[in-house]
Amino acid sequence: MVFNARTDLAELRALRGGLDSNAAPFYDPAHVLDSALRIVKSNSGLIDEVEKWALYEQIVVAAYDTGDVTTGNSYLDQILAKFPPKDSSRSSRLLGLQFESTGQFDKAVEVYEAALAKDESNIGLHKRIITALRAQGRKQEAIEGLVRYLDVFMSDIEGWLELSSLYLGELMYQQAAFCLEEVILLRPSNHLYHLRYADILFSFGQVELALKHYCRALELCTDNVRAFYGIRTSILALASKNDKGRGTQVDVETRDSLKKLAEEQLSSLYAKAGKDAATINTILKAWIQERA
Amino acid sequence: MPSVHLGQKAYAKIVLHAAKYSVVSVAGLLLGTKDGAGHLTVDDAVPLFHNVLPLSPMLEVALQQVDVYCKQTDCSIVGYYFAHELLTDTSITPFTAKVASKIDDALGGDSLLLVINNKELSSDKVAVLPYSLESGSWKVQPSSSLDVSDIAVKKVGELVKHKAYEKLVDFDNHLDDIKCNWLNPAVNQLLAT
Repeated sequence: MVFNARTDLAELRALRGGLDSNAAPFYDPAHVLDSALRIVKSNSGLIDEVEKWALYEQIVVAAYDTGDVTTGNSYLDQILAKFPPKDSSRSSRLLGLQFESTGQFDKAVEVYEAALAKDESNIGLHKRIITALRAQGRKQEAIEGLVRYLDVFMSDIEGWLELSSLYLGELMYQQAAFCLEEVILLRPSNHLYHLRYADILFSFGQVELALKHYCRALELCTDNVRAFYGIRTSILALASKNDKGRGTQVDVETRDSLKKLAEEQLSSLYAKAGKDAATINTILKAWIQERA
Repeated sequence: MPSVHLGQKAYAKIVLHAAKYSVVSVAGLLLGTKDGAGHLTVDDAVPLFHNVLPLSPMLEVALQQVDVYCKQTDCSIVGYYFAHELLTDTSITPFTAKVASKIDDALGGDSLLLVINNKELSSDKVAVLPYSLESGSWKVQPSSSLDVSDIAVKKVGELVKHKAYEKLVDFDNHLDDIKCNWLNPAVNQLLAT
């Protein structure tokens, strides 16, 4: 594996940008720990003093996530020395994480609550209390806490998505769908949320509405493979439920042309994917044929 | 339950999938053959999703496409694997049970459900727990019923150390970029060396 400081630094910055940004790469703590450590130890002048502390913070979190408590503690000590927790909510959050890393969740929550008493609108602290519940498998309490949190911080996308996934864990599809509705209201032009909403709707039988949202996702992101698959799967589900198009808003012609569109576009995209995808392309062709 | 042989390729892909997405749940399919006495040989695995949610549309597509592949290569979907996001959780979620039962039905019984024992992933022991469908519910089987070679476990441990999981792709990756081949030829090649 080739070490490229600039690429790694760009990835680390994207991760700090938060979940709401489309560009955020998947969080692999081992990789983050590795690349961040290399950058801070290299003294290459790529980062300034401010970014150094941000990287230290990423190192602490990633170290605890991989179970490397020693590294986490050593970088945390440096952060706490420079930014004492009694004056900093951000440091308090990390101090709480230290307790979580050794399974002392009650102590962690004490730290978060004490810091919240001085800084009650700190979103990070509120969320850590909820994730501490989730980390202990206390799902019902996590749901209740998150619902209370969202009553106040109702424009927190990450919060709504987290609640949605907690609801799905309990198979509460309707509630999960509601969360996605809130997210879509806040970010109507993000195709990913329409896709997730459609997947949820389909999963509890709202196939027509799912179809509409797959189409909307496609409008927002042309050539979106998930949208094409969603459209075709929905059309087939509608056909098996209701052959003559009675009682549905989507007539047979529209259904047929949408199915054809999805199949043609998928075929074309897969064909263009190149020789590495040759086996997969063969599978796709046969798959389409099975329910042509 | 008759014994099950879990091949190196299958075991590798399961563990690499869990290692790549260490902070969320993962799930995938087991491919292989079933003999007349119900003994399974699991030759391969197809990693499906990470951050597994009980959503059906993409799962349906994945099952259908893997089925097509099986018909083309004369094997079957013989089971399902799943890893929880929390370290110590090895429970069977209702959704996992539902998918595994559907697979069992299609196979005509004797399918295998593997729950990854997350705690054992960094050890040199076999990190999966075998379950079998008995009277409508999934029951854990003795680890002796699962045959995984020591060489395979060792090889897979080395692959994880060398971050081979970065080469592994699942169906989720494929849906985001169709050039990602969920048959994982790159990983197959690593195992062949």
